[in-house]
Amino acid sequence: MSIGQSTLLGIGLLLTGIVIVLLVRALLRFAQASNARLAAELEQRVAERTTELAREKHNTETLLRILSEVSASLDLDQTLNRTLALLNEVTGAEQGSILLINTEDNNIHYRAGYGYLMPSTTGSTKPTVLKMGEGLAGWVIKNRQAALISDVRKDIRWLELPVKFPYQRSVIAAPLVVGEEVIGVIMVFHRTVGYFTPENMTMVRAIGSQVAVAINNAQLYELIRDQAEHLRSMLRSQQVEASRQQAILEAVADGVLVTDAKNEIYFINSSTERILGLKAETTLGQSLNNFVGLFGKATQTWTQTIGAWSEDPASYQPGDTYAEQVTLENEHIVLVHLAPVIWRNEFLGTVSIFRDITHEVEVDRLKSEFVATVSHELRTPMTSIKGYADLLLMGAAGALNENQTRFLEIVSSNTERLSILVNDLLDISRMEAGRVSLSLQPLDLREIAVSVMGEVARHSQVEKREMDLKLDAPPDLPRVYGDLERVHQILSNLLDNAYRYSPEKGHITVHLKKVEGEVQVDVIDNGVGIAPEDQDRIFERFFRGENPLVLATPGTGLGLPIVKQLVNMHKGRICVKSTGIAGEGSTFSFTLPLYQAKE
Amino acid sequence: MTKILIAEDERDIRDLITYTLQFAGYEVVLAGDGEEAVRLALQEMPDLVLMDVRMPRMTGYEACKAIKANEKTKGIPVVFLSAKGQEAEIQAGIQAGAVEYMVKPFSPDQLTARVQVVLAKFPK
Repeated sequence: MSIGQSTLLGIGLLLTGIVIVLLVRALLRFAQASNARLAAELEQRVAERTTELAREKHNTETLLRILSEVSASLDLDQTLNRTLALLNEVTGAEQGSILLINTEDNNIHYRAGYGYLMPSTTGSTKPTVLKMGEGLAGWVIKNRQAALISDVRKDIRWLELPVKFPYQRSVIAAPLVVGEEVIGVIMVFHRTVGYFTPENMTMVRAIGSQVAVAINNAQLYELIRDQAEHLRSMLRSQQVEASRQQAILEAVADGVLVTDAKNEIYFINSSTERILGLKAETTLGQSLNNFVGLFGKATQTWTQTIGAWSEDPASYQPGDTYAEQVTLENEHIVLVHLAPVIWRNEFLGTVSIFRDITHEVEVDRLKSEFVATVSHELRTPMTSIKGYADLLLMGAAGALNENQTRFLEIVSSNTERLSILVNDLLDISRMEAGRVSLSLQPLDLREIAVSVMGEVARHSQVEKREMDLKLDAPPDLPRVYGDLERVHQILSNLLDNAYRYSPEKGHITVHLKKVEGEVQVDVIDNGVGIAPEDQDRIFERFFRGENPLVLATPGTGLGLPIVKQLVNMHKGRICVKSTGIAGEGSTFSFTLPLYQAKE
Repeated sequence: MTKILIAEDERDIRDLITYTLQFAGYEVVLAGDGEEAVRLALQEMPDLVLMDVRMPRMTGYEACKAIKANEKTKGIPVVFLSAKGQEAEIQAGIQAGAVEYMVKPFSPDQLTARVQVVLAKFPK
């Protein structure tokens, strides 16, 4: 209740007093004129009314006091205890309690008490919890009505506690109402039967409806306070998490550089400082464009990609990433990986990872050099072994007997094998090091197939090992885009395998056909086949499986890995199909991209 | 008789080539390093030079360039025989003025066949 309202209430009471005084005077004059008995009666009624008015004034003042006190605090416990203390004082009650509906379990919970302690709240048992509709409190809430009970022991709504409590005989219970909602019940008790008057009930009801608003406010305040606390702890844990992530990023050996949506540097770790030679304090918040010159020309694509994404985030296609090996001006070789940061379709910036691979590149170079040197050093003695064996076979040192010829042939063919192994080793080591570049040109696969098949046919004649070779290709086969020598090598390796692993008088078919954007080459034989469990591994270096039919044939285990590398370098695909049953053979299929004039 | 100059520092291989070519009916002149090869090319005026790449005193590339730089010898075809068979090395050989680049090891048959082809292509 506001001060305005209380002033109006005071003026109302004053006016009523004045009217009554005037009425008394009129009546006195009338009494003097007529009837002394009537005058005495009137005098008594006036006295009664005056007492009544004084009580009403007192009640109103009490109500005001309670309301101003309870609304002064947002502490719920303090509000409830103060309400009950004042109410006991006004009504003369010995005990009071407030029970509130708990929205979580929808039960009525004992929330505050004043005066004698209830037996259920003395610590030996749990605080009172009532179900909705249970007991007097339940009845008041359900019926939204106040109740005045002279003797609880004669009222069926009263729920007797296990322990008899002698101080609860007279009861007033009133609902706590906020708007349309009942939030609980307020109760006062006295040990004397019939202690409370209907006037007391009016007072409790009035206080109940006003105090309910204060309780509601305090509850809302508690809710807001809890939420604020929750948010504070969330913020704190996020800060902890952010600090932890930053510490992790600081600790990684790779350089990490983060730019925001405006292309400004948002974070760099100490590894980035070391690799790029930057200082965090002079780079953070700066546009990346300010540093382009520092990194040298090699990083142009990297900075351009970041610039393009930040200027026009729509230009980013999902899955786009950027990876490049760059040589900085300080001669360090750095692998740069760049990826955008997208959150709910919003471009937030980019993350770049820098790995200093100077040492790895040097090690790789030394490995390649080593392989090249070893190959070279092996080739020189091999030239002598093979050359002199062949010279002897040619009869340069006189006629040979049958055994001498056979032994020298073995020496010669094994030197040939060794020579192939050295060449293959050198080849694959250079491919893996990325040192083999293709000179791409339009190629007629049919021509290449004819040439390779011719070589196999000659080989077959020399070895007197008959083989049925067949080419199946449409006359309008489009040209592919590839490196002549390398495509020749792919087909030659596959056909050589087909020849070596097929029985005498076997059948080898080369099938060429156009498929979607590519030409597919199938090399089909009826040789020993490849067991399904080995098919995933045949492209691994030196893998030859356990099949005795395969192991009986000389081979390095490097032919297929080379073929796969070469096909991949051409952006083609390769696969094998075989039942693994000898005689059913296998089919190796690879694809090469079609030549398109604009290329 | 067709004369071929063999420049090779490895004695075993030099002998192998010598036997092979003599067996095929050619006359051979031998050099053990690049300098000697340049000198003998001018002195003997062979029909063909077979030259190793890695040799003491003067490499095969340098010797080839020297032969090609001399008006008298520049017409003599040079074929490299090398254990180094990578594209870059083959390219370097061709740039030095060689007409062929054979990678070791080779069989005597292959060598004589290649020699015949080159001699037919570049007659004296």
